[in-house]
Amino acid sequence: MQPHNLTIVRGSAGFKQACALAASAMALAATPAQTSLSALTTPAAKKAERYLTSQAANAQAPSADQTRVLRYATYPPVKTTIYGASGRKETHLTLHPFDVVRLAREASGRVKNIERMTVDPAKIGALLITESALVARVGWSSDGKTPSLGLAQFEPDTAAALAIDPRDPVEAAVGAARLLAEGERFARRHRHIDRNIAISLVYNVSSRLRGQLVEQFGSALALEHLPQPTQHHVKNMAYGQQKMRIFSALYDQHIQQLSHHSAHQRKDFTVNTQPSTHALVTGLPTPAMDLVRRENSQRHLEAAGHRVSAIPMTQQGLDLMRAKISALVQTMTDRLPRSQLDELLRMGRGEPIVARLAQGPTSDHVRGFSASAAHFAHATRATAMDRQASLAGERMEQARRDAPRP
Amino acid sequence: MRESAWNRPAATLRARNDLQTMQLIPNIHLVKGVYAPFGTDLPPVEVVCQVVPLNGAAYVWLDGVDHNDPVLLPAQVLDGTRRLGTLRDYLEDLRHEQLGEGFDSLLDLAMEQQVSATVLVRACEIMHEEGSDPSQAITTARQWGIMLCELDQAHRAEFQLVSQGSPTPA
Repeated sequence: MQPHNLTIVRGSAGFKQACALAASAMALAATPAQTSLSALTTPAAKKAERYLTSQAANAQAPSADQTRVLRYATYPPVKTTIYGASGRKETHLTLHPFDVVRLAREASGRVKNIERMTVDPAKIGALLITESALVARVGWSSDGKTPSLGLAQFEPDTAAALAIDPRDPVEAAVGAARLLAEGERFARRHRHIDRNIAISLVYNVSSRLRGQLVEQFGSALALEHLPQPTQHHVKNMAYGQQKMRIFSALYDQHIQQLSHHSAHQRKDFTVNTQPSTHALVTGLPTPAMDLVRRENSQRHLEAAGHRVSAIPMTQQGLDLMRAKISALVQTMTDRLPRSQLDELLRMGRGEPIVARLAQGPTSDHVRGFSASAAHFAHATRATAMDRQASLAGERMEQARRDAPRP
Repeated sequence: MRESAWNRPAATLRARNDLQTMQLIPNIHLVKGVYAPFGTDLPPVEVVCQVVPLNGAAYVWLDGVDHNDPVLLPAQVLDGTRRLGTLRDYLEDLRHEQLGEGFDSLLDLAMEQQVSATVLVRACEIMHEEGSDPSQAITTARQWGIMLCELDQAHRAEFQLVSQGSPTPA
């Protein structure tokens, strides 16, 4: 289908008027009877018309579920590379670690009122990282019949029982925290079982299998007695808690440097940042905190009353930013082994950006357009999967309603 | 069988999406703001970019050059966001009259090189700011896009260590 004709005439007096006409033309073009105003065009107007009708926003689109998650963002999201359902690597936008800390603490605060129990925010964040890697998508049970939704990968039945919307990030985090509270209670009842194992038993294992395991192994229940997915769950939870403690420490440092926060608020944000000594925790990326701890970050300076203007989009600003990025990469080079840095810089993009984008606008653009259809189709498929899962949930709910009552 | 989007062939969906995108082109919205990637030791940057409406939310296409792996951000994370209206509104703005023939040339080059709306508007702002010629302005605008991609990459690399990776598959 040809794009609608659109006319913009550029000129001193008639420009605005012609643009108004062009707007009318667009309105008319929306109707079956298309109207052409080409009689009014000038060469510049034709160029503008062709420009406006040939450009598209070729952007990789987050799914509808992930868009709901990203609405919670207050810091620029980061990109994360995960293995998709097909087993291939996929790159997704996801919440900045500081937003994950905010989310976990908000959920912890809400659950304290509901369950009368404090759930460690690090555990809540670790659960979200373990379940979904912070990418909301539709997962399926091993038999392929039951979908699991959202950041915490709730099955529709579980979400209905908790009266939460699993796709909403805050509600999902609150639901996850409530299950963690149940796990804590289970751990208190079975003090002989490792606490991390007890929590994963509640979240990741059916109640029947949980009962069998406790009955069979009793106080000797250990990691190797669990099903393989649950063993992974336990390890990832421990690892995720360590990461969350680093995020929390960094976020607290950030918040404490903001001068407008009162001492009372800072006290509320204080958490235990002592590293876990649990045997399951593997080696941590120790340079991480040094890398992201910035004493002179822009926001800190502004919060402290220093006025630092943003770099303008000029050639001079470009040169300045290039120098600063080079310095940043040099800093990272000094602190990390070169091979590790190269791996980090390649991650997600596959090849150096400059080499890929410096091939000229035309070839770049043509590739972009060919790829854009695939991106939009991918986004649409993701949305379709969401709908499929939603419909499956509705069907299950309907079947349960229709089932004869005993 | 119940008719829904996921029952249709993928080709139909692609065509529908492309068509919707094409119809939105003159109505691409633009915003100006300050991008401050916290976590890096870099100063904030003034950005002007196009809005990409997706799933009912507004994202901004920050770089405007990388179609395959764009730097997309939710619009709310930009500081001091100011709406510039649609691309049509922007091109109609009478202040571009002061660029004279340069504005025509800019549009010429933009169409010839098929740059994105983000790059076109950024180039236009560079011409206003520095008085550079259209060709140089588009080159600088594209270089800014590449630089923003690199900034995004550095930002990602910094947090890669702490925000990603797990010892075992979930």
